[in-house]
Amino acid sequence: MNGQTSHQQPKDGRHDDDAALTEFLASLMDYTPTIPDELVEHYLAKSGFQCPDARLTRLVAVATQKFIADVATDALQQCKARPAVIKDKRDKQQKYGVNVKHQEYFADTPSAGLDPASRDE
Amino acid sequence: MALLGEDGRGYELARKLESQGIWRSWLGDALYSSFIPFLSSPAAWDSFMLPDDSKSRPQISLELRARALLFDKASVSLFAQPTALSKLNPNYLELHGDDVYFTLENGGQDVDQRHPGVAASSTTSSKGRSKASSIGSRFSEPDVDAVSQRLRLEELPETWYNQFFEKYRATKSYTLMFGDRDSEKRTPEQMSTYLSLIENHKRRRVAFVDNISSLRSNPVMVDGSPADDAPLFPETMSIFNCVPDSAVLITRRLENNQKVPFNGVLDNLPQTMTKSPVMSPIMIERLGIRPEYLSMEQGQGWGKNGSQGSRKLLSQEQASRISQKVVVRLLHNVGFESSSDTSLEVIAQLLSSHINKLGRTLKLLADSYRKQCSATELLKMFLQTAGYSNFRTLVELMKDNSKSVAPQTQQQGLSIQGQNLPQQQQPSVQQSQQMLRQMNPQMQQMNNPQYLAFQQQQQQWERMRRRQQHQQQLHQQQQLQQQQQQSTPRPGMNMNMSIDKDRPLVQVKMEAPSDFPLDTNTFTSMNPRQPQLRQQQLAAISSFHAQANNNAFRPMNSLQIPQIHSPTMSMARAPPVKVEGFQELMGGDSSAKHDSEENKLLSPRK
Repeated sequence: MNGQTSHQQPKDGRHDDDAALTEFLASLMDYTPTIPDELVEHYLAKSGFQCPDARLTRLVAVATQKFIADVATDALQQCKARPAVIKDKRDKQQKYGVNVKHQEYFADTPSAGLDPASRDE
Repeated sequence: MALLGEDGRGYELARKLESQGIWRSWLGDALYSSFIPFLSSPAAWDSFMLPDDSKSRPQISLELRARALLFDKASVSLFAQPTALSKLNPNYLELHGDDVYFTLENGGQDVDQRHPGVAASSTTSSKGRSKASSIGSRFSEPDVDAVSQRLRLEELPETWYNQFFEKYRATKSYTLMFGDRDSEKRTPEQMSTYLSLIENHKRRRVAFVDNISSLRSNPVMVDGSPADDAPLFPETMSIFNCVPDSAVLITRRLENNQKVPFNGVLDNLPQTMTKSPVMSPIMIERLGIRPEYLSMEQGQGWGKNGSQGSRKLLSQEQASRISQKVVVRLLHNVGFESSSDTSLEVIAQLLSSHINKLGRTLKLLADSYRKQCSATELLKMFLQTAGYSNFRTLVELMKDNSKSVAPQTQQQGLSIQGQNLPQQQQPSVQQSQQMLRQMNPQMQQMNNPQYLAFQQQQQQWERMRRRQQHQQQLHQQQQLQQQQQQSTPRPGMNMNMSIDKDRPLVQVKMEAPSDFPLDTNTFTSMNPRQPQLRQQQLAAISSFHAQANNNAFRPMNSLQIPQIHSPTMSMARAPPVKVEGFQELMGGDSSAKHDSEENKLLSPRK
């Protein structure tokens, strides 16, 4: 008896997972991903996969959207953290007389930007 | 077969064959004499053709031999349109030895020891349909041996084809075939001659003709002499120059051009019946109302047709452009305010590569585990491979995006709109974006329910602004009254009346900014500070107009004025400027609220 119940529980769990997945697929039709279906189908067809079911297309779109969003979020965090680190570093170096400011401009030749008269000299 | 009549016994056909003397040739003289009485009447013919257990074996054999010829000649109706017996070509009804193939194996030896190879050959013959129709009447080679043995036992003569072949083997053309074969070569002229021979042969043997005389109008020349329906054996006459009628194989069976629907394993994902109280299964059944994602055909109609191509196809350039737009939107959602071209391109390529990778994964899983796993299991495997075995994260992403879509759609739309401008105008685009974020972008999604909530917010803001305006107006009027009168018994009422009287003077049309100096109200003359401030305001308005026009956001002009007035309101005490178009844009009945606000005396806000 116990064996049967324990055997039934994984089956029930699997059934719940399937139901949850099916519901998730159905909910995809109520949500419009940021990535249009046509674009996703274009790249899926390029990779050799074709499916007439729009739910699968939207699943791929949502997965890709999540991936890009994660990358962008990490990049944004890096971007925000970077100036503060650089500023602190620059201030500390100035304190010790080290100038690490960026060049305002870069010249091709030593005489670039000078007056023609002074250039001749 | 129509030529056998309604009863299928073929009496009329048998009579026609008899009129041409074919039965005697077919059956031989001995059998013909016992056969001919059965052709005297239909009843006799029926008794001859009816299967009966009381019949003797010779009788049955005779019946079978008669049936063989009948069906051989009647089988043409299987391939042709049903036509009357009268239209049958007499030449077609005659017996022709070249209707069958005979093997050339061991042709040089005396084949008396073996039975002649009267074989029912394959359908890939160059003799065309006339040959195919006659195949049914032939015995196959092993059957010929058995039958011939039986015939010998029962004293039936050999079949007509056997007799014919024996005679033909003795002819000169057959013996010459095994002579000097090396001298014969394949030449275009001989191939052409062969084709013309075949064509004429077919024309002579055509089953149904409208005019019999037309057959005799084109005599056939064989070896320089007219051939009077001589047997044509390409396998002996032109061994090296036999060619098919056409280079394209003729397929006799009807081709099924219907597209066979091919469903992949992932095309039939499990469907769910909606749990919505509105769209219950009963309603779907009775009213035929179906949600858009439920279709009659499983795996199809989920927003598009499979191979029918109702979906829009994109080129590479279009795809890259759309990818960049999508990346802009995604970055904006994350919180980026600007981005460079290079990073946009890189992330767009990353997006396309990721979709490609997911597609390859799906394809690999579907091809590899198509038979072992169901669609649901394949999906689970895919999600696990992609790293989303727990698809709750995707659900949360969808929820977050759904919440943030409403207030941001307008700004997103503007940002995408801004992206449509050339890249050189990016700084101005960003500037305009910032300006527009401060303003009320009402030109988009006017019917959005989210917009209504936003509209209510704007109405509240407008009420607050007008409160300030009226407070200033009241203060000005107080000053005026102090100058003109000594007492103000009811400042409230007088103010109200003055407001009501003075209101028309205050109204200014914003679409004609040049009219501002003309529409200046009486208050400007009373307050010496006002003209200067007024000019400043006019200059600001005109400059803002110019900017707005350049950025193609012209409908926003009427909304810009309140923004400019708000910072200067408290110090300038300028008379309130009523924007006519603003109320229409807001679409609300704010006039009643305006009156209610007017009648209230409110203390100035600090």
